Amino acid sequence: MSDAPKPRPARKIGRRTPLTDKAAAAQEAMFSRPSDDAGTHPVPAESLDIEHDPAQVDPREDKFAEWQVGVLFIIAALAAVGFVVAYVLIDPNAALGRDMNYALGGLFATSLLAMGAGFVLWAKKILPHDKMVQERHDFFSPEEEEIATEDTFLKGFQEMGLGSRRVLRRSLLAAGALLPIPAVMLLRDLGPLPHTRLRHTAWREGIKLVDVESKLPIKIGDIEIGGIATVMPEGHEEPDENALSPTILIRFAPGEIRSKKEASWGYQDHVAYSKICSHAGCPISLYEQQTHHLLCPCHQSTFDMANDANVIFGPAARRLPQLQITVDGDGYFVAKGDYSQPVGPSFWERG
Amino acid sequence: MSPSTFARRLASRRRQLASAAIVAVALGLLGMLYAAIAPRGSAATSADPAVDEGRSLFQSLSCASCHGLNGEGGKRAPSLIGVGAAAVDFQMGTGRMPLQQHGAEAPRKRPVASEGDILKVAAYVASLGPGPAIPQFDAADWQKADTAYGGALFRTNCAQCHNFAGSGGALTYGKYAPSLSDATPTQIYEAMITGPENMPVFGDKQITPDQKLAIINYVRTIKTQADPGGVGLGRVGPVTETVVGWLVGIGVLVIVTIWIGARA
Repeated sequence: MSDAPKPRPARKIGRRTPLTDKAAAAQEAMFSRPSDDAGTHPVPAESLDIEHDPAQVDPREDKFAEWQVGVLFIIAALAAVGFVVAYVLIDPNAALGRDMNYALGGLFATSLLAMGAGFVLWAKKILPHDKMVQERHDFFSPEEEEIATEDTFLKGFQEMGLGSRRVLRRSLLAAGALLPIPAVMLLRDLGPLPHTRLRHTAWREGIKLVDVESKLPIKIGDIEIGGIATVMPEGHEEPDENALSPTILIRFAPGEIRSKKEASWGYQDHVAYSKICSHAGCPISLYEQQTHHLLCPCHQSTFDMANDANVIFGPAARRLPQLQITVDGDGYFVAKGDYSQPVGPSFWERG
Repeated sequence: MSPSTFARRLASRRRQLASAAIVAVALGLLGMLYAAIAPRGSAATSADPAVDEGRSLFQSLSCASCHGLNGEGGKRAPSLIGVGAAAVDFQMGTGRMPLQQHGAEAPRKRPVASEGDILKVAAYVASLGPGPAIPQFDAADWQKADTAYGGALFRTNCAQCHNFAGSGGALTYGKYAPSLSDATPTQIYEAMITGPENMPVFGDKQITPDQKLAIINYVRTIKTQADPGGVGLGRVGPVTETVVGWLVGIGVLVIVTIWIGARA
């Protein structure tokens, strides 16, 4: 069958070592082999002493398999025709396009599946299943070729003249040294630094709290006990442009707020908190009016809104910042200033 | 038996009868007196027979066993004074009340009482104190309802808990926001104005009746909308879609690959 594995002689570029006797003999044997034996043609298993599968075919089973494959191909053909018919007949706007999607997708998938299944069955049931072995030649080049290749490389290197041509050598070094600089420059686009922008929102003293959807200011009494509203600073109502400003206004029943500081920062059982989760910055407003839990939908951080928005569950590291509010002369809610600490998730320079 | 003994006995019997009569008269007088001076909680509304029927239903449907004989609340249940007819219609109409058992969330189930009985109990509870009434709206109101605006309002105020398609979602410690698929327009409206369980209250000054109808119209619209992709998968978003894509899609591919590779 095949020859024993031949050890590859250890060699170094530029030095010609004589072949060992054994390697020379192996190479001789390889090149003297007839072409068929070198692995260009498959050899029947019989001649290789491999257990031969006689594949005794029952003509009735064979005919049945042929029909199986044939029926699959006919299904594929019919489905392709059905695709065209469906495309012409079905109203593409019916049921938001669902009918069309079902018909076209289903028929095209049926066509491809039946075709593929037919081919697989063909291969499995009809093609002969004899075991075949294909030989390959060994995976190294003859000594002469290796030597010639080395010579070519060395000659080419010498002809480039890097050793003797100073201009070439120095200009190449300069180009090679400067090439990485443009790549480093691109890192500048990671900036500019946020400076103090992450520390401030659009809230200022006297700015009204307006409903994010109706853009109307909120008067005391508009929110029922147990109610909640998403508010933005008046004049900066677009959440996309004021991503740090969204705030929730909650009204408690009298006596429900457990923290004195929280109650004093609010106004008559109304309190305002940042709507940006202190963990990953998700908008957070799953409010439970009986437990006073505020749940973040992203990672289940839960804040106790009756007690300074303390974290009672989840990955958030800090309570939500509270906005000091009061009402103006007309009874509209206004901010008493900006948040006293940065809202939203942690950032590098937050401290 | 001597005559004197007989007379003594007769006298004794007479005394007994007399004392019994005095007690009976005194009790009768006391009862009349009580009826005259006793506070009449629902005397003003008892002109409405529904309130009286509602009160007896309130007790026979076992509402009173937790909420108290006069709806004053107790250790296990809140006071119903001032919750209004809308809260009763919502809680009983969705089958959440009477409560089967205490738990994180009262599940929606088949209503125990008939619609008429629920309205009677609602009338009784409404008579306990002022609260939101059962909302009334008709086809003309729907004409004004702006579905797209309702969608925007829904996504701002409702979707965080009830999901953008009203499929509901989990809250903390076993509580959940229910799916809106079975809720009627009236029930959605009642939920907004009463804030059942842990839902915040959205009063009419915060979300106007027109805005509420717009929200309800949006919910009605998405409920009847077909899923263009064929299967909605609960319409809960990318989580189920990814799970189905990986398990079903790749699972089928693996099975087919094994079939192709298997020997005939």
